[in-house]
Amino acid sequence: MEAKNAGNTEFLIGISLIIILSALALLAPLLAAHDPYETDAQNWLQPPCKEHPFGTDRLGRDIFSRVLYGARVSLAVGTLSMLMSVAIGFLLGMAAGYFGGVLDGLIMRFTDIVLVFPSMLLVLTLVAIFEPALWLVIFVIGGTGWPGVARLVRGEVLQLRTKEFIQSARMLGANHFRIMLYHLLPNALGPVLVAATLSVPAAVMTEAGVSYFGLGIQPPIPTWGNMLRGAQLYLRHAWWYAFFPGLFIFLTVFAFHLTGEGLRKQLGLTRVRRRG
Amino acid sequence: MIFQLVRRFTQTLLVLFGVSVATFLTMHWAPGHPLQANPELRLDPTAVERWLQLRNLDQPLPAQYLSWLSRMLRGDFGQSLLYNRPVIELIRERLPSTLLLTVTAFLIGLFLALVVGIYVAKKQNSWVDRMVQVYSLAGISVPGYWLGIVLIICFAYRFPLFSAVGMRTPGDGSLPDILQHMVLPLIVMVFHNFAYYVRHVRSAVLNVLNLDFVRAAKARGLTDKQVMLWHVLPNSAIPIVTIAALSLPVLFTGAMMAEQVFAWPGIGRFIVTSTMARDYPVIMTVNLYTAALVAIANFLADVLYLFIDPRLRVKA
Repeated sequence: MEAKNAGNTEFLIGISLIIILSALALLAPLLAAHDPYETDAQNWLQPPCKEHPFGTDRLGRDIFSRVLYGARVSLAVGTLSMLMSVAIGFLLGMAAGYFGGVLDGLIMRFTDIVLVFPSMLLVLTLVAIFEPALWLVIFVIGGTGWPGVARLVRGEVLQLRTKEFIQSARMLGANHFRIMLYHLLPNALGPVLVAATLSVPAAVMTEAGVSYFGLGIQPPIPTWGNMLRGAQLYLRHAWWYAFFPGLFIFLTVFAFHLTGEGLRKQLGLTRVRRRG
Repeated sequence: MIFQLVRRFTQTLLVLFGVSVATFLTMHWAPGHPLQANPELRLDPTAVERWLQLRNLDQPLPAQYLSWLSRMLRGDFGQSLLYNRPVIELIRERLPSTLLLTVTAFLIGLFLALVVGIYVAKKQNSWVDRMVQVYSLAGISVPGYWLGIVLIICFAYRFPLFSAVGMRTPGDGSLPDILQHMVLPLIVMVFHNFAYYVRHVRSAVLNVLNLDFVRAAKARGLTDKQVMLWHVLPNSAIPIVTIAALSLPVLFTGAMMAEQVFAWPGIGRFIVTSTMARDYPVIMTVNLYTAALVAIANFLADVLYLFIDPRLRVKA
């Protein structure tokens, strides 16, 4: 149905963007000409110029440097919560699909319950109860993002479980652990890779949104979300203040969506029907 | 089919039960004791006891849960700590303005998605199709509040065409005034909705277009229009139900981002301000209410799938 090398362009553009953004984040101390925390009251709200390519904010801090440091937070939240979701989803999905029966029922009902809580709302709730902190944001996004992966892995395992190569492995005396690790896991890897890639942008979006609401990682630590929040009062006079942090949120999320979409097409997977 | 429905129904009930237990326990374990809220209670130890008794807080946890649940089911969600008024009233006041925005954005988005999605599916891999595919990825990648901010900078400050804040001008509030306030938030929401829906419609139509029965219909000499209308479109009913099911909860909770940026007096903004004020009763109600809506929307979607598509029915 789709062309043979479908998804190549998307994948390449997406992955290059991700590499560039990661490099910017990792090399932030080298690339940033200014200290992201250094205020300069004389030069507040400077429009973009040679000295400050993205301008300066209300305290005269260099927005370019702050955006670079903000990338660290966003990408850290994105990747760490993705790893957490994939790990939980893999374990639960594998256990449910492989062992079946009561365990399967229990795990899937639990999955249903987690699935109906929107992660944005949960983050807001938990942040209101505890104090806003980086680890809490990662923990909540990672802890609520796994149902999609769990369902995917379970589905794959259910299909594979009765195949001959699994039966022969069992006959040769492989224990459950070995079958799951060496026979089932590699076969379920493709769809999970796509799901993992697509869970990063969701996490980045949620983190930025929560920070924008003023409930995420707190200033002065620069995150794209709290920079946008700070810019809100200066929209009339300083377009650059809000424009660049938001542009980077968009670029990051878009890059991961492109990569995920490209991978999906390359692997010839159809879209998950609903409630991904 | 009856068996499937009953099964899904019990599953939904289980989920709702789990949701209520989770909400209750979070509420129970949240830091903060009545003593902190009412310091004068400390003066009289019997007063604390009375206070706890009156609120059933001296009973074992399951009993507390049951009395809490029965209050919730009767629509008594408690008092807002911030406004000192029943939570249900506060939500009811804000529901109409949220629905005005979300329902309009939903309908416009769905209409555009159907028209464009079907058109693009017919011309697969044309440049229009590629453009729409790129747009649909970009559209779901744009943070709504940022798009809102950009729109405010362009169309409210640089070229003052529309209002950037609120739902009506103080002292005005006529229909044209409200419409004028709706424009920018609507653009933000439709931009996202359309991008999201058009993917569903496109892929659903594409899946059907390549099936044998469509080719058979063409071979019988039906025109493209007839094939579309009688053979392809009925099969895209499924994605529409999916879209509706995914959107239903958002219709009620509102688009938090758009409401926050444009200071729209709806539920989304209410959720954000309540969270910042640590207004626990409101936060918990909103959680319970949204989770319940998602569960119910999913159940309704599954029921509709069975009615629309006989292939999904399993004989018991």
